Amino acid sequence: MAIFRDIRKLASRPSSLIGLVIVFAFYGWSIVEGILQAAGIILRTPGLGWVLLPYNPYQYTLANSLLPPSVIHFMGTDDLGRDIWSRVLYAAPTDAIVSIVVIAGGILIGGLVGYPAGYYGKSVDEVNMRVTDLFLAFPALILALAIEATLGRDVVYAIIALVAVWWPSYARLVRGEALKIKSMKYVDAALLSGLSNVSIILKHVVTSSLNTLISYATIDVGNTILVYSILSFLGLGVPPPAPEWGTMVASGLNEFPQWWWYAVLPGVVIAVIVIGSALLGDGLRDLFAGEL
Amino acid sequence: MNLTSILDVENLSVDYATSSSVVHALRNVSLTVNEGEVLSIVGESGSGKSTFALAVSRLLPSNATLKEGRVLFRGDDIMHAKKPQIRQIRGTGIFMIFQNVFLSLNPLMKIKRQVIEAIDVRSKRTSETLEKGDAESEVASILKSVRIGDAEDVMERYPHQLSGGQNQRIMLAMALAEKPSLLIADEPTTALDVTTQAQVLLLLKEIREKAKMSIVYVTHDLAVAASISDRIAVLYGGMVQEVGPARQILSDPKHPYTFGLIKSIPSKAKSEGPLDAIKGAFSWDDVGDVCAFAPRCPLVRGECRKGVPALNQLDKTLIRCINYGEKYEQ
Amino acid sequence: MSSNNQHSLQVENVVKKFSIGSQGIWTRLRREKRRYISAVDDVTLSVPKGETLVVLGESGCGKTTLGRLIVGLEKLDSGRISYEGSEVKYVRDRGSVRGRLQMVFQDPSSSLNPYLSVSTCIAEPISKLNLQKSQITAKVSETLKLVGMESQFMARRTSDLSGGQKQRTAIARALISDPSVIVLDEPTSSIDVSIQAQILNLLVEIQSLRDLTYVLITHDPNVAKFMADKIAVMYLGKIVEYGMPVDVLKSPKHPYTQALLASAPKLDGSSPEAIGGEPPSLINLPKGCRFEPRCPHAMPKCREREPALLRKSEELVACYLYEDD
Repeated sequence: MAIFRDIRKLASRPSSLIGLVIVFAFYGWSIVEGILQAAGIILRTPGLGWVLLPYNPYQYTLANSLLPPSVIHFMGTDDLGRDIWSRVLYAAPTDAIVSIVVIAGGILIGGLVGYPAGYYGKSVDEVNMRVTDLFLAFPALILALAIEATLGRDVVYAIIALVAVWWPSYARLVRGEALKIKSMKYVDAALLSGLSNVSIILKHVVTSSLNTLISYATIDVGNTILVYSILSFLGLGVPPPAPEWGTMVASGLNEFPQWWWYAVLPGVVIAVIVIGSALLGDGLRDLFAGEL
Repeated sequence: MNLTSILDVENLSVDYATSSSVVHALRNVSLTVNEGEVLSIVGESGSGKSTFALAVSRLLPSNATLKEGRVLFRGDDIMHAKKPQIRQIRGTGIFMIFQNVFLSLNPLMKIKRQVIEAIDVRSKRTSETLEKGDAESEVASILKSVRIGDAEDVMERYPHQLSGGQNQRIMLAMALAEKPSLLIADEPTTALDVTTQAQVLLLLKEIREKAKMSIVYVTHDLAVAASISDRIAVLYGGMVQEVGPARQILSDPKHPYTFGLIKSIPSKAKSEGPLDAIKGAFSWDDVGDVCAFAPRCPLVRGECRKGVPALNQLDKTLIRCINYGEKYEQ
Repeated sequence: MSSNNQHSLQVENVVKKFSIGSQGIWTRLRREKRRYISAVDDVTLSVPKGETLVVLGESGCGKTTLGRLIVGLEKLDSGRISYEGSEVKYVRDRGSVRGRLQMVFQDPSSSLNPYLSVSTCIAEPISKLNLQKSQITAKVSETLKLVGMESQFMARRTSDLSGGQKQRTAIARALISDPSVIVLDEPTSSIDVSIQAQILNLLVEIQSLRDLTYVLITHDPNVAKFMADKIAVMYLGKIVEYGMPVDVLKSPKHPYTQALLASAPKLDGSSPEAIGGEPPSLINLPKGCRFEPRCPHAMPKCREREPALLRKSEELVACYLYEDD
């Protein structure tokens, strides 16, 4: 099947292979763990959420506080004696969901704004792009702070803020694609076949831009997680005691540099995912360009 | 023979590595260009003609491997020298022009500067001394000689501000300025109008006369090859199928592919019947241990698939076809 | 041209200009004079049913724009194009009915969506007709056979095809809606020479099978010689010569046609003759004959006023050399 051939091609290049493994491991784990956590909530047995984890992420033992990384505590413990690695694993699904929702929302809204702008041009383009510029000018963090100050602190509000500042880049991206594809002769042929403009956008413009969109979105996985982690670092994510990568880094700074692992290791995990998604995105871009 | 050869290509084989397989773009290609002569390399997609031009110019892309062969320029092996820059090759007297003008002309440099650069390369090679103003005035006169009106105006412009035809003529001006011994031209007129093409072809002939320049001209257009060549080499499936004096090949093509190519150029009205087309199409699957043209050949026989036919000599022409001698490559 | 034949394609006094330069709010506010390129300047032609008109010319002469106007891909500035009496409407106008006029484009790599399958591309003209999936498949298969390709190609992605196969696919797409007129814009220029003959033969065969009317645009006199029932030579937006192939190609009357044919390289190795100079810019057209700056027979009156198409034996020529004939 074509997709297996593509995966093999990606795997042939070391950097793309690394990216592939990282991203798949991240989402794969998040799906499994996420299902367990959801089941745990529905069935009122929260223990399901940490069945696969080395330790209960909420379990604190002050006697074990701030233990360095070791065989029994892969990333050491935090100031309350909780195993950091278990907390990192437990928090993963949240970031996975955030990345998917923000990117999906960005593509949806960005697509609705950008495709018509590029395809129709003229006044549609002017209006849509000025709106895009407006949203592009918003700093994500300030907007998130404003939203959360008004509505309260929750993942959902953080996601809303992120989508609001994320979609303009997609609008720009797909507008550029639409401009390029608009001048292709197969669009002319579609017009001659009697297809409506909307049909042409869906059938030809969107499909032809999918490759670019996919490689861009893949790199964005890392970006969304990074910005969301920054938001939660600033105190705008999931409230404690629920584990959250950004929040962990923030708390860990109190113990830095002596008990460095608390602040550094969750940050390393974030960094690894950002790098992994960038490598995979690059690999996809080259794959689509036929260079693999 | 009193002809001295300026370019000797011996058994050149080049492979391209693609994601799924290895493509044998050139196989055992041996050609000679004599001083002052024009050799046209004629072929279609899959023939390897562009690979040939790139290989001789040392401009093969990174996924190309030189499997074997030598390229001798004035007796020096230029293939295995340390990877030279374009300038160094130009310094030895080889000049290249391409179909895509922006591969040859720097879009960020004014025309004047680029032609002066060509003059500099020549002066370094011939060890002549130039005064400061000499180069500039030479630029104007060279541009005029390739029939660029408003030479003073054009000198100050950038390539993107000029037409395709003007840019190609500027490339020829640079060739004139540099006075290379060998010009390698890869489809330089394909993107041009017929009338502009005619101007460029005439200029090439003039330059070749004035500067005693040898030319390797790569094209898919037999008529263009006919109008400027002394000798023509026809490539198919990465191998030379027929090579010889242009007049002979055009008036009496021996190889079934060359013959079919000439016959398929429309020369009658539809009322007189369909054109004599070569059946089928080239496919990389045909390239292997047998004659690559066999699936499409009207004269195909069992012997054609016993091996890859070797070149037979017939008068001044070499032909790779069983019908002219049953010899095979090892 | 031939008179009002009900069963023909009629192009009457068609004009199409393109504005250049920015048309933003600022330039409009300053009321700057818009600059135009006259791509097609008062062209009149007609093609009887079942015939092939070849429009011969070089790039920039307006032949591609003319082709696009005929099928409705461009909007007319003035004039009228009609087929079998009914007017051809601009594609983006509401209510324009498609299907009778189709086009085959020059470069099949950009005229076929590389991400879609062969059968999706070919079926596009009939995709809006509320046909059953099986009916569509049957029609696609039938049309593929007509262009000489086997049904195994239906599921392939168009990017996997060779140049010749792509062009056959494009032709199949143009045929599937049973059009009456097909405009072919340099249909063989982007494919190998050895395949070109196959495609031309195919086009002739299909034309007689389906009684199609062709408008074939090309810069190649050999293609014109083979395909044409009539030839119209275009230069800078105008028809300069019109007639039968044997007249236009064997004994060209207009100095531009003579120069064009003389500059084409020939297999017998004769040197192509080059005409001097560059074509004038389409923005600042001279008020007289457009070929005058490069014409070896230019007379003073050529600079005053543009010559109209005059009748010279079986042909029409726009040149003062034939004024007294």
